[in-house]
Amino acid sequence: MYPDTKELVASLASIMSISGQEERGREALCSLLQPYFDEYIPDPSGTHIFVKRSGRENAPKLLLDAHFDEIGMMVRDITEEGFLRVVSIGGLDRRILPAAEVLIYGKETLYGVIGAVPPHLQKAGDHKKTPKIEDLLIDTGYDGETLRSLVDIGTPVGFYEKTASLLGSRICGRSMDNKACCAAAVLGAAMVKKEDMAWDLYVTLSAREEVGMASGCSAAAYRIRPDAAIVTDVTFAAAWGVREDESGKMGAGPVLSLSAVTDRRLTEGLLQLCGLRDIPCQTCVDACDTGTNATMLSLVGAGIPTAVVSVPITSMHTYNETVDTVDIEHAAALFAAAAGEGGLHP
Amino acid sequence: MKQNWTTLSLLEELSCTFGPSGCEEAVADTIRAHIAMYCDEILPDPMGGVLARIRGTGAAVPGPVAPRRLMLSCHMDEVGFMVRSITEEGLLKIASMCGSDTRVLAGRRVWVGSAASQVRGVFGVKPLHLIKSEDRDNALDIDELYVDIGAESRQAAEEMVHVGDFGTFESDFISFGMDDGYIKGKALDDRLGCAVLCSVMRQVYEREICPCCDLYFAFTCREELGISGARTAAYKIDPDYAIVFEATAAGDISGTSEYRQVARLGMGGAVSLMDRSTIYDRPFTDWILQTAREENIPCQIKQYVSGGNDAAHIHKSRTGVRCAAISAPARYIHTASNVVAKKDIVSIEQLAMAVINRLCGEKK
Repeated sequence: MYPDTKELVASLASIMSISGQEERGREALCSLLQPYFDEYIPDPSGTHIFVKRSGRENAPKLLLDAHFDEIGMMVRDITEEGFLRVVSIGGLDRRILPAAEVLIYGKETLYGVIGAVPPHLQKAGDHKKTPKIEDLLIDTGYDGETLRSLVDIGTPVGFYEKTASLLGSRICGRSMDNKACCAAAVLGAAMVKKEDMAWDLYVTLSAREEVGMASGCSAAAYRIRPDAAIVTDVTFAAAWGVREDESGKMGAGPVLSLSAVTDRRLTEGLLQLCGLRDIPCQTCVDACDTGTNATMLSLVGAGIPTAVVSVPITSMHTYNETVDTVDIEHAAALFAAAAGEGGLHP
Repeated sequence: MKQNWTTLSLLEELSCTFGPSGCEEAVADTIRAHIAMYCDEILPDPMGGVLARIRGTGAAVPGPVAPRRLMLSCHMDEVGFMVRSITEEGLLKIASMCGSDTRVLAGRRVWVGSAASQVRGVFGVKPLHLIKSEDRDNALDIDELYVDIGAESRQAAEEMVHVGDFGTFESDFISFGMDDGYIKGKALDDRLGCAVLCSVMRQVYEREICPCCDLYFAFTCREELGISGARTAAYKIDPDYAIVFEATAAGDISGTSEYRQVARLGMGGAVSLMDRSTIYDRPFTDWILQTAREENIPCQIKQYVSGGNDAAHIHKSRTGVRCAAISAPARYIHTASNVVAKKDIVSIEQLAMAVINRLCGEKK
């Protein structure tokens, strides 16, 4: 038995994991994923390591990395009138912030609205400019004194939008980047039968990718010392003027990255596997940089052959990122095939 | 016939109802279902409004403000948009009916369809990673905004949505803040006025209040377009006095100097003296303010000349109508996240009742 894809994504997305806060949801995450793994290893980097063992002696180790952290904000000021000022964590899209809804993870989880300046107070042309993060005010509905007892400088602030369905198999909501790929990794681990496993499978739901440090995945990989690694992350979908040759088509399967920083032999192995098992997939050229954990991961220790398998997403870094669950399921099928008998060659 | 509702529960139902300008049927149906038994008749309105009459006794009104017919008006419609075309890829291009600030559209979840049924969509954006860095500072133009309903092609989209269909925000109705004293939702401008007036009608009925003059409750269409359904409603009702129940942009957030604020949340309904389209009748307005003072009902003066409402048309109807306006101070109007204070809803309803009570003769 393995979980329903949308439900799994929604459950993962409901666990707040703004970069630097990845450990806060450990209990919820472990109880959610415990049925699919043999072991959980905490890591001081904030990365969550889940292991599914083959039971074979000296089995090679396959690392499947999906960053667990999400973009968000952090409180830097609490005004007398009960409004919050924030800094951004990761690359927030400022164009979507006016009147956006947020959750403030203080002593209690509070609801808030990002303020928008009413038209009569705007100067001519103001409505053509996106607000600067430093000018944003979050309306909490509290007075300053009460708010200070509930929220501290440094309290994380995330978006409100829960996972919701669009037509067909598409879903939208906050943090599809990268909970969609976390779900693909977990689903892949759930799908591979233990008796068929040729590899020990290490799924790292890693910390601090969105802030460009990749420290979470590197630390965990150093601990695990895998023989090969697959990084799974979101990639741009072809929509809204995104060029087709720098993006993937939604619903057409996972996107395998052709890049100078990834391992071509491993990537070709995965492509062949897709062909053999009838798993729809596509490729994308990321010549110098995949924009994922792959670069840092491949340099851990004496080096780790690494491939990148992505799920196409629209509206990246907004609170309504959209993905197709079909792509998640095909990516999962590929991961399960890779770890299984007749899958990837060590 | 709906029973066991409160002003707040009705406001939640109305806030979550689909009703952009020109597509108010679902809101009108909800209102009719709540008020039908509390009025003497509902007048037919070709514009789609709900015009309800409570007959007066015909006795002389005791006070200095002595209407023949009092119109209590609010509008049912909300800001929204219309589907202009559907692209090859199945994305919807839209015409905004939200005013000029498109920044509050990008990224939002919306409903698209007709009064009968809608599908969910998202105002998607090109990812910021792939745009020029200077463009990150520029708001998206309406031409750059598309609604994605998840359709894979134009054909798939056309099975669900048609050119000319309407759209509004999707937004949960949420209580928040100190003692859960605030509400966030879409269309509180002006479903709040609708909920208050429904509640007032029920109170008049249940407390057997007998006003001397006729009371007309007008739930109007298309206010947000400025092509006011209140204009034709006022013609039909032919009132000599009218009070508009509205929501007004408060502008009371941190960092806004007090002199630039319009009104403050939690301080009661904001009574207008002047806005961009109406100078309100001063004796009538003063009488309302005096009523509030004498009954200890919180209220405030709208302190900035901004905005406009259905009074723009009502006060010019026929030979002229003495108009007043009482607005709930609201933050972030014309977005998916209107914020109001629950206290103000109570104060406005109390003030409306106090006004009606003063239009009653001596108890028999």
